[in-house]
Amino acid sequence: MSLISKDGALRVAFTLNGRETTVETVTSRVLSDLLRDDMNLKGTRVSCGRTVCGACSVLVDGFPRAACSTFAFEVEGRDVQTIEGVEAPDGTLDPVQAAFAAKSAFQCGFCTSGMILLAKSLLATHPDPDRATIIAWISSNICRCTGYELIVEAVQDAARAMREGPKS
Amino acid sequence: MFHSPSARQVARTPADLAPMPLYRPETISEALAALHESGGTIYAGGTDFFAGVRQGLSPKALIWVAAIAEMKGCTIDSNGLHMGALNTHDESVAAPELDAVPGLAEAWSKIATVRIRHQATLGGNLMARRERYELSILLTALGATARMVGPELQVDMPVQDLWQADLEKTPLLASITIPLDNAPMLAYERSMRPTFTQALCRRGQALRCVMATEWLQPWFKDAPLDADAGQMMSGLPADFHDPAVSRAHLVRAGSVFLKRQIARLEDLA
Amino acid sequence: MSDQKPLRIVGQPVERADAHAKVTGRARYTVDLAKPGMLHAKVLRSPHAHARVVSVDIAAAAAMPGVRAVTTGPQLAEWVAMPVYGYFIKDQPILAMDRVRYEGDMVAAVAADTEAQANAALALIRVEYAALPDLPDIDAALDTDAPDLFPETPRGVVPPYGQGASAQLWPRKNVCYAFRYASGNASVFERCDHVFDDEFRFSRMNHLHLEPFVCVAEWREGDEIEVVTSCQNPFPLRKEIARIFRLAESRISVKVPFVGGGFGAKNNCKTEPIALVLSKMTGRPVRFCMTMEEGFLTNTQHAAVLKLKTGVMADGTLVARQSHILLDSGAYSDASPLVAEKAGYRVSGPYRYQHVESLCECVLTTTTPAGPYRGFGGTQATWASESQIDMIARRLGLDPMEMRLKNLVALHEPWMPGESGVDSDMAEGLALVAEEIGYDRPRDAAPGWSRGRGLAIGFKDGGGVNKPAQARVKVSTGGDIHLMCGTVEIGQGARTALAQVVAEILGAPLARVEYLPLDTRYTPFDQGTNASSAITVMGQAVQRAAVSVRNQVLQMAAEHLGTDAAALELEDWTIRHGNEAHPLAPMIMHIYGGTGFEFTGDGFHKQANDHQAPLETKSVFWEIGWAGVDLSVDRETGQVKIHALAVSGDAGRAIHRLVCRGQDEGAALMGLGQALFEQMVYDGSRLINGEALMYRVPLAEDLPDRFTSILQEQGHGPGPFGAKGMGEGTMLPVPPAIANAIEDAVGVRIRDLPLTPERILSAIVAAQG
Ligand SMILES: Cc1cc2nc3c(=O)[nH]c(=O)nc-3n(C[C@H](O)[C@H](O)[C@H](O)COP(=O)(O)OP(=O)(O)OC[C@H]3O[C@@H](n4cnc5c(N)ncnc54)[C@H](O)[C@@H]3O)c2cc1C
Ligand code: FES
Ligand code: FES
Repeated sequence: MSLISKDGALRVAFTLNGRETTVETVTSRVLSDLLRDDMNLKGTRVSCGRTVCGACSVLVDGFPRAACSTFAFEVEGRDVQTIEGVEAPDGTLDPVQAAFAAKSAFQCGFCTSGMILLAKSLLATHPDPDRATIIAWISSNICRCTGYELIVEAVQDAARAMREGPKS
Repeated sequence: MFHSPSARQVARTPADLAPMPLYRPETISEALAALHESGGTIYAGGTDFFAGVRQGLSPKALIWVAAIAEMKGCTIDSNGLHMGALNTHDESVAAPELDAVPGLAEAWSKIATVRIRHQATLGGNLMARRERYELSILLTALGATARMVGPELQVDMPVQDLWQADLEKTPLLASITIPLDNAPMLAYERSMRPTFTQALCRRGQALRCVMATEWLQPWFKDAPLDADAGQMMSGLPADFHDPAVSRAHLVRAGSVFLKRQIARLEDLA
Repeated sequence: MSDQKPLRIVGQPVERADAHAKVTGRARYTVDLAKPGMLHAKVLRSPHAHARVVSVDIAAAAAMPGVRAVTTGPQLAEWVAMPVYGYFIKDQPILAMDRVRYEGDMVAAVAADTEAQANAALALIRVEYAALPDLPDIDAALDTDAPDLFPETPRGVVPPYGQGASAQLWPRKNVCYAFRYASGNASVFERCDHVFDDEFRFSRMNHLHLEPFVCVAEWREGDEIEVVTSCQNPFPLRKEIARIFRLAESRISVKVPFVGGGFGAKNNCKTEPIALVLSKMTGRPVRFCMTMEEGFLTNTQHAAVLKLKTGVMADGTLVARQSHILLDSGAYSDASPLVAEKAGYRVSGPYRYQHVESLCECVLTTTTPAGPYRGFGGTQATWASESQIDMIARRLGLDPMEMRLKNLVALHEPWMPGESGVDSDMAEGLALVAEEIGYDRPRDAAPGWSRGRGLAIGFKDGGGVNKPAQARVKVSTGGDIHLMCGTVEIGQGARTALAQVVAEILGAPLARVEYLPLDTRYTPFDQGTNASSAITVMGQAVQRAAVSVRNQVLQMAAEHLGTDAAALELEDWTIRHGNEAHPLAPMIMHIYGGTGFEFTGDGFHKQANDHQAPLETKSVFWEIGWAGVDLSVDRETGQVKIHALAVSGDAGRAIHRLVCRGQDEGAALMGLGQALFEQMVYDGSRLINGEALMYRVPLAEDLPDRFTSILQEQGHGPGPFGAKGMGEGTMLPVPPAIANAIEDAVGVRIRDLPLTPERILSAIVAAQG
């Protein structure tokens, strides 16, 4: 039988930023509300609330997805990464974060969590993306402040840093 | 138009949804049973669903169709190219079967964004029934049919009829079929988006041209291969215009693009 | 200032102060705030563009589960002293009283335990409307038969103006404000070889800031209130709140955390009055967060009609210009009078005239209220002005660049009588962008396409009118620096730049400077984060505060060491005296006792009042943006392909180069969107693309093939270290530069924005006859 929940109550087990997580929630809960309001992970920003701007992007199995337009139940058994899970446990910034910081590839910062996750997903599959590829990916999300150019350059810098490996 | 007035009076968000029954069918018949039992709403990739919620959609139950294997994939048989309604845009574009219609994969690869293409489905694109979504335009040009299924009934209807279709008896779009007789090929012009787009299919000695704008349902015109582009475009109905574009411009620019697209298909053929 | 030393921090590639918070997601915005016991507000909006509110029945809503308060315009009167607000004119009701004036006007509000409960209750409110004729645009509103949107004239004020400037409230039906400026004698028109009349239209955009309009308001026991809000001007907001509720400003605390974008929209009352009323009614904190769709119904840019009459000599010398500008103000005055002032004042652009005369009127229509928007009237003015300059050059057979160079106001020359001198060499900037886009190179194009190049200069007075700013710097015994000022960090990098100024002056590492959270009860006064004023106006206040602290510290050390303060240097909270180093902490404790001390320095800046200056103070600085465009047009379809867009701004002295670059590039891309496609589309009075997908904003894929921003540091700015303000200038010239390039390519002139293929193609067809 295909009924998963009759009364709307539901348990969802998933991996959140590397940790096995189980939540008791309801079928109507969207992932961004679950993260922000129930788990206090406020780094996932919500703007348009309807899949367009990408400010709320999180990585689901490594691919960017709008958390505002994803039901919590959809991540059952899947791997979810939010901006809070991007830096190393010791607080070292990820190369993408470091590049965004160094390039000032943000202004108000409201798109930044989503842009960084988008860029991480891009670089995981394209270690040396050309400008056109970066632009195609970055075009998934809206940044109203920067004019995008510094974001594109930050992604290029991050790609270079990741290819060259950690400086020792 | 886009906003229903009632949705504008009160700004809704998904937080307005009440907890509701959730079904995760694995077959079409399970899905139909769930729909019948619950009176629920189909949920596929979710890239449009939440826009619907913001405009007032308030489902009684969710029928999450993502796990229905028989609604995925592409096949070719004597009836044509069949495409499952659950294919994402990425999956469709990557399917080798699409090569049976030269130009289709290329056109399809241009729509939406990297993030959306990974998640948005063919079925959702058509069943959202929004003027600005493009698969209706491409598939109308290709003379495709939609297989709509219900507990007691199954109908194959031309894609352009989906706009007005009564979903009461056949609520689920299972697949799309593009007939392959006479070697169809497609050209698609979307550089004028958001003002308008134009699809052109050549099938043997016949052409079908589709025009669409952000706000208007696609209009199509069949004509013989040697038809005059200007004449074809002058068939645009008198009321085919919207607040962002006049009919005169659609006819004028549409004719130019049509001429170019005819030439493009000539080269392809 | 004794700063001959090489700069250690100013102009250096330091990391932005907010970088770590923003790249890790830790930055906190108003939208993230939740308080215990907090209620949620939601509003019911009008489905009519213009109607009389006959009755409102809230009984069923009030009985809904979770509902703690329901109110309407007439009912909230018992909770407020003054139910209306507005900048110059108090015409916008907190909730509609007896009339709604646009689709989306707020009619009733509910506070409930959850947003869902509030919305469920709103759905049960029954409103009876009697529809009235709507006024979708300027022409309709000015029609002699048009209904009067405000039969009872709301009260307002006209600020003092100086030489040549004046204004009038409600000069005619549906016009709430008219600004006039004149200089020189109109008789010079008679000596002109040619007089050209041209009319232009400007479309309107939404700000689309990503963080929504949101606040959390708390009316506490004893009439003490706290409002945390996503707002650009907390002090004027405080004043407005004090007036609405007749409360001492000292009882009001407006707090502003990080703001997720504003572009002008987040000035004055938006969500705050409703949240406060509901909090007062319930005794609980109330959060009011609008959706993006509601943002479209809250504030926009001004659409405009601009008529210019310009007299020139045959050699291209500009002589006189008369302008009549009509701004579509939407349903309420909001900031329209201020925008009118700027549009009217700026419309003659960066050129020398013997006579200018302008009239700018704010026309009320039944659409979303228009307010401040990046460029602030300068965008509209530049669109018309820089288009017409090019047209005139072509009509006279002159090169448009040459004609500009011939007429530009020179460096240090007063822009208008009584004004300050222009603080950039404008010819230098023009040459840079012209070079970058290959202005003189051959115009090769693909078959069927034509190539063209165009230039434009955006010109605006910067730093705000009559704008005071105060700042305070405190340094504790151990050398921890507290910077307190009212500039809101809205993304522009103000925290970083102002902290850099302090660190530079105090010889401290940047990391030691903490930019304290903004709270109107403790933060020194500032008029608002607008007019690109942070660096030039607030920067000077901050600079003075830091210098004051430095002087106090050096004075103390000099007395302690028995030497002259001039012989000492402050570095890393250590006094250097020749080769000696004296750490300050022990010295301070020696002098002030073991608990130590805190040095406090205050700084203030305001451009002097000056009745000779048209706007009562001379412009603090001139914000200038140059743009050059290289494009091709498809002559058969009217399609435009931008090959290169080059913009340039003059930072005077860049405190932070990447921050300046980001401002210029962000502004330029907004200008590009405005030029080519971005606009609010109305079907009559109904906005039909007011949501994220239908409303198209520039994405990365809209970047031109080549997009360059050239940062100039001409060094003439009045701000710290020679800095000037940035952030608006490069938006202004982009639309006219593109229109100019289109005429260069295909010989047709488009006078309306956006520059759609339809407009271009129709013009080409019309020109072919
Ligand atoms: C940022 C963005 C950009 C976009 N750009 C483009 C673009 O350029 N061109 C374009 O064409 N589209 C574009 N889209 C639209 C996108 O392609 C559609 O949203 C998507 O295809 C919908 O599929 P889904 O699976 O996400 O549908 P869902 O959101 O899951 O469902 C949409 C609707 O269809 C119904 N439905 C779904 N599947 C079925 C089915 N099998 N049978 C019956 N009913 C069904 C649902 O009940 C719902 O009402 C864009 C969307 C976004 C968010
Ligand atoms: S907030 Fe989720 S996509 Fe915009
Ligand atoms: S930094 Fe403000 S939206 Fe991107």
